[in-house]
Amino acid sequence: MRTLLLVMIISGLTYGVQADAFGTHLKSNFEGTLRSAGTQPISLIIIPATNSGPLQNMWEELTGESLDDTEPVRIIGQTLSYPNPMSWSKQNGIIGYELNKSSDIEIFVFDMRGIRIFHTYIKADDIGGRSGYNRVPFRLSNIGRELPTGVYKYVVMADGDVLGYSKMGVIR
Amino acid sequence: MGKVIVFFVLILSTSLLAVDYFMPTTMGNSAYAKGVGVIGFENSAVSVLENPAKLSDIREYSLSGFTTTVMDDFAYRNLAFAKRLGPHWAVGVGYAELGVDGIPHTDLVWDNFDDEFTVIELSNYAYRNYVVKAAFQYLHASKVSIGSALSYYRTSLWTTHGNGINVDAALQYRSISGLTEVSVVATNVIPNLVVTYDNGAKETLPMRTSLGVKRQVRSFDVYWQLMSPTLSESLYLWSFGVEYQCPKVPLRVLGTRYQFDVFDDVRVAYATGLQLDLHGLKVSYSFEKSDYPLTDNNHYFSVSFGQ
Repeated sequence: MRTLLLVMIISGLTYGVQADAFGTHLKSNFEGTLRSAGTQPISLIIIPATNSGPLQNMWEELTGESLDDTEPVRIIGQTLSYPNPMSWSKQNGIIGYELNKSSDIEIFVFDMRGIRIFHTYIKADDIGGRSGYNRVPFRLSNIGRELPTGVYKYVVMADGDVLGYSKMGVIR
Repeated sequence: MGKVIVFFVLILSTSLLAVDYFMPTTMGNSAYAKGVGVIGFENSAVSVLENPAKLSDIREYSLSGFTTTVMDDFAYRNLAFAKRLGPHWAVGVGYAELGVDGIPHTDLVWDNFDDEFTVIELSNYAYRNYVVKAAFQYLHASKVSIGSALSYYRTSLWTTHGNGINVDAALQYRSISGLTEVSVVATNVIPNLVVTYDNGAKETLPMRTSLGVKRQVRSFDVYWQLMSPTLSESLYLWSFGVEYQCPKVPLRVLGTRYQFDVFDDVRVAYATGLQLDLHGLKVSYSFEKSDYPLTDNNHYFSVSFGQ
């Protein structure tokens, strides 16, 4: 839940952080810079995240994430899996993608005939449905059966809309 | 007694660990066969790939080709040629391929923004899976034909390559009236011949067996097929198809309701299509609904020519 948006201006460069009502850190893009900022003057602006205006636009430019609840969920950049190709001997991997906002997500896997062979549902607050970069743990064994060597396509969807897709090679 | 138990444990383990190789012919070999939902009744060179006994219908020669692209990325193609050598003999060669390009090769990089790893694309690679078949057909009696094909399978994915060979066997029977045909086809009949990869992995070449019947009723050809897609599962798939010869035009309308397997699950699909016959040049098209959310339908195209 976003309730606060902090924008820090250090030496003319702008950084942002999101926090909830209790000040719990959710996401930032300045931590490393803050450590190296030394004694330089820092401007700190704290605003409710529900406000609209240029600071929200600044936040969206900085992070690519939307604070507008009416904006449709989308994936920023590529949807990719690692490792690719994935081997049965090291079958732990991840599917990585960046969401502009939290959302319930579905991931589908299709075999080489174009037939759906796997489906998982991820809630908005779980890994895979959170705003920002998501690393969804993926095991070949999740599919329930060993797959033959080949290429499989996976699709990330929300509310029936395709957000992203890619291909995954599987070797035995 | 102990030896018996060990034997059965080994047999069970083998069947549990066995993974069937994905053959590029699994998706179908012609728009006509997709349109009627059965294999083994095509009277062109594509019989090399699916029912060598049916080469009995080749009078002089035949050339055929097929293409479809699934999920915008998975390109299936085949090409086959068959020639009659005498009243009892015909031979043919066929090539079928599945190719996929642009598969991302990825790595992890540390993201200072999130203090975690992010997946990035380093390059991309291709997947190729093909089979080459050499087939012959022998007309044993005027109504019974037998055929066989030697298959060479090869797969390459990233730096891994796999190879295997096996044999198909088929029998075709046509009734004296010519109105009924029966087809029995078994692919990869030698169970010990598998696909072996250069990393040591092995995959079973699936022994797919099918029994099909075609019956002509006035302007209709009615098809029925029972298929066991693999020996490692006790699955039986039923197909029912109809072909209608339009009056006064060389056009046939195709339709089918067929079953297919997804692991040990059986699902149902429908397909429909057309075949235009222009003095030996047959052009076929069929389509079916796609499971993939970004494409509404899968489209199949094939062409054959010969006498």
